[in-house]
Amino acid sequence: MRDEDDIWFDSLAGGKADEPQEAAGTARAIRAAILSRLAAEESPVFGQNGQRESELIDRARAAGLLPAARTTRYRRLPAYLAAAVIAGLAVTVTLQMRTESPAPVIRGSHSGIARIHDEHPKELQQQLIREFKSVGVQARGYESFGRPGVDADLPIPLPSAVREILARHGITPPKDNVLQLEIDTATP
Amino acid sequence: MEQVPAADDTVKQRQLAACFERCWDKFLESSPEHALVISWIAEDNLTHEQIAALLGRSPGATREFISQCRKRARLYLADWYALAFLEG
Repeated sequence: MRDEDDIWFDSLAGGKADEPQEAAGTARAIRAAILSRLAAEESPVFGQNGQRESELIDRARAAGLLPAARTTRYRRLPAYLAAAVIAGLAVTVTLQMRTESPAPVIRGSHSGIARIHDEHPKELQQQLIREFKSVGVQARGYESFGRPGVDADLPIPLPSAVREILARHGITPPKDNVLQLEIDTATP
Repeated sequence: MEQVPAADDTVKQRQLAACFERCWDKFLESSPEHALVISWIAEDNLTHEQIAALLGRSPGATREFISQCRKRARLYLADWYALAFLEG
């Protein structure tokens, strides 16, 4: 069943222009403002990072990570933001090619993300991915500002084997069975 | 015959555009990846699956991320919302 987020998403993407909900109205307005802004802007001259941007965008597209018309949006970002996003994209592309499991995403602690501490976060990340895999759950590793994380869409109802893994690592079963876990380095 | 917008409408549109610009820049500065994903959806009509691939996240985590995008948009674009929807 579609919820308000779905309606907002669909309207932001240009679908179903006659939806009456408030979420649809605000999304359509955002879409119009973004497209209007896009039309009004002139592409600024690429800075020193222009060549690097192009290379990364080409690589991302070759890896199937970006749809065809992707380049202009990076030009519109201020240089420092473009650098940050491109750095994230570079990590994504590099790791995706090697392990199919990364991606830096900014996330707040108030949004259902579980946090645990360990002396060896990366090792624990990989261990958790292996443990979930051993019980038939596909978990993905990612990294956010150097902090390893694990995403997994857990089965409903939660199998006892999965519950045991969570309990073993002191992780509370997540709401809606969508596990989002970040691992901080334990302070001695 | 082509409609010529009234002067008041033109002024309002410029105010709205300027307000959106300010709010959007703040959004980009404070939460660049959420703002960027919103612009991708609007400009390229990306699907959940494409965003999940781009972020390298699971479908559930991607839905959560998109939900966060909406919440953050409401926060950072609040002044623009008020001007566009509440002040007639």
